[in-house]
Amino acid sequence: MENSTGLDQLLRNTDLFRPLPDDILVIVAKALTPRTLAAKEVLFQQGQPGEELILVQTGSVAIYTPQADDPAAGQAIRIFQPGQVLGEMALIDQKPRSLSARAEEPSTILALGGKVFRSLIQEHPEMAIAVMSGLNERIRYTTDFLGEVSVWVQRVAGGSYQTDEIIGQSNQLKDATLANLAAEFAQMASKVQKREEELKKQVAELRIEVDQAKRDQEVKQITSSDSFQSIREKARLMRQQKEANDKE
Amino acid sequence: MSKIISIHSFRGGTGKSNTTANLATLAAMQGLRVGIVDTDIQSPGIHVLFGLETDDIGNSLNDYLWGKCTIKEAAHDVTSRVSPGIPGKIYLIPSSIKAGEIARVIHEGYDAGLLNEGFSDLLEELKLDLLLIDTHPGINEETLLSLAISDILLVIMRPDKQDFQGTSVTVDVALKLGVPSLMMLVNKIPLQLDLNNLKQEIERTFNAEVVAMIPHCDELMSLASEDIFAVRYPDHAVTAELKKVIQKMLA
Repeated sequence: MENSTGLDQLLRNTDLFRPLPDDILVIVAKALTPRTLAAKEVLFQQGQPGEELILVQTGSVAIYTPQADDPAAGQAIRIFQPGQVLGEMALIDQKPRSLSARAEEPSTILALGGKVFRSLIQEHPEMAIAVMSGLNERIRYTTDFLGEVSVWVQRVAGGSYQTDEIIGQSNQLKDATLANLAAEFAQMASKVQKREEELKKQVAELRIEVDQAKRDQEVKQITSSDSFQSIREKARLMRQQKEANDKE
Repeated sequence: MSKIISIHSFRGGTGKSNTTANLATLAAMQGLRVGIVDTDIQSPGIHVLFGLETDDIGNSLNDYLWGKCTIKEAAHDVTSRVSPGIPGKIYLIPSSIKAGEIARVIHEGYDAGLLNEGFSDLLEELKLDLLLIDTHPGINEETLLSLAISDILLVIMRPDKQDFQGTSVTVDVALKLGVPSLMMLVNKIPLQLDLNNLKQEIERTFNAEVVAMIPHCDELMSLASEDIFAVRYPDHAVTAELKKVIQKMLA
């Protein structure tokens, strides 16, 4: 069947399931429960007990820190694309979900129950290693992620708002989460920059105030004197002389 | 046609001498013959920019005014001191920097008419294209006559409250004297000031054309008059702004 071939392909492309032999993959495929999510639909909430592992089949799913006033909203920490797995941490450490998850667009997911997951790990050490390497990858990802953010923060703290550069970088980023964060960061930097420039302008507009009455009075005092009249007359004669000389 | 240009500011410390020296140099770099008369007899300073020491100054403007020499004899050719290979000429007529002679001028004053005759002699005998007069700050009779015979008056001011009132009077008086062309140069502008706004504000207040807006410049300050800025920094934005002033003056 085309569908099962598609599923088979998906599992083969998933780091977590790739090491499993074909016969086990068939068992896994049967144990997966498909589910459809609308855009912005919450898959699980922060603090809930974690009972299943999620494999994204189509669309994309984000893990995020929920906002207090709107549990479906919040800045995405990471966005998962088809073939990527999330939620396995809660199955391993048996602790409540550390973050919430929601569909970023209409998506389909496949859920694997905790019981099947744990027995797979026990029977297939290579799958345990795959889980470990997945966690490993997540640590590296987090480190890189923080490194990148720290560069941007330092740049803005230093007063350089090269938002074009950040946006340019975000277009090159393959990782949807980083790209998303870079775009939001660039937006923030440009807002900060604009605010700073407006503030600067306020400081920088110089009002020139001259006492007009005093000005007129002083000018009159100087220009009404006899010596001023004589200077003006002398200057007129000298200018005439100079013009005559220039013509020669 | 030769032009007499007075460079004036109501207060000291506006960068008048520095600007004069740089304008003269830029004009000479274009091949013009330029004279500079330091009429700031009470507090001379422009000679420093051209590297003239007390011993280098033979005859000064004071000697001319006291009838000891002709004005041409007080003219020092400083072209090669500025930079070798300048196609034009720069002649400086310095004021005496001897304390006794400065005191005598302050005490006795001088014949402003004689000074202005000297200007015409200089134009003719040295075949000058431009004669720049570095004036004494403020408004006194001698300064007024220099302004009055000028083809162009360049008023230099800083965006500083202390400069506004006096500059406004200077500008009005100059217009009543019949100065044919009056230009303003705003110097030492703090970097955070909005230049467009400032220019509009000054043109509105003083009713005169602003020909250059020169921001505060660390390189210029740290040069401390050791050298002519336009020679040391030919491609600097300040130099470009001063070149624009020369173009306006020659237009």
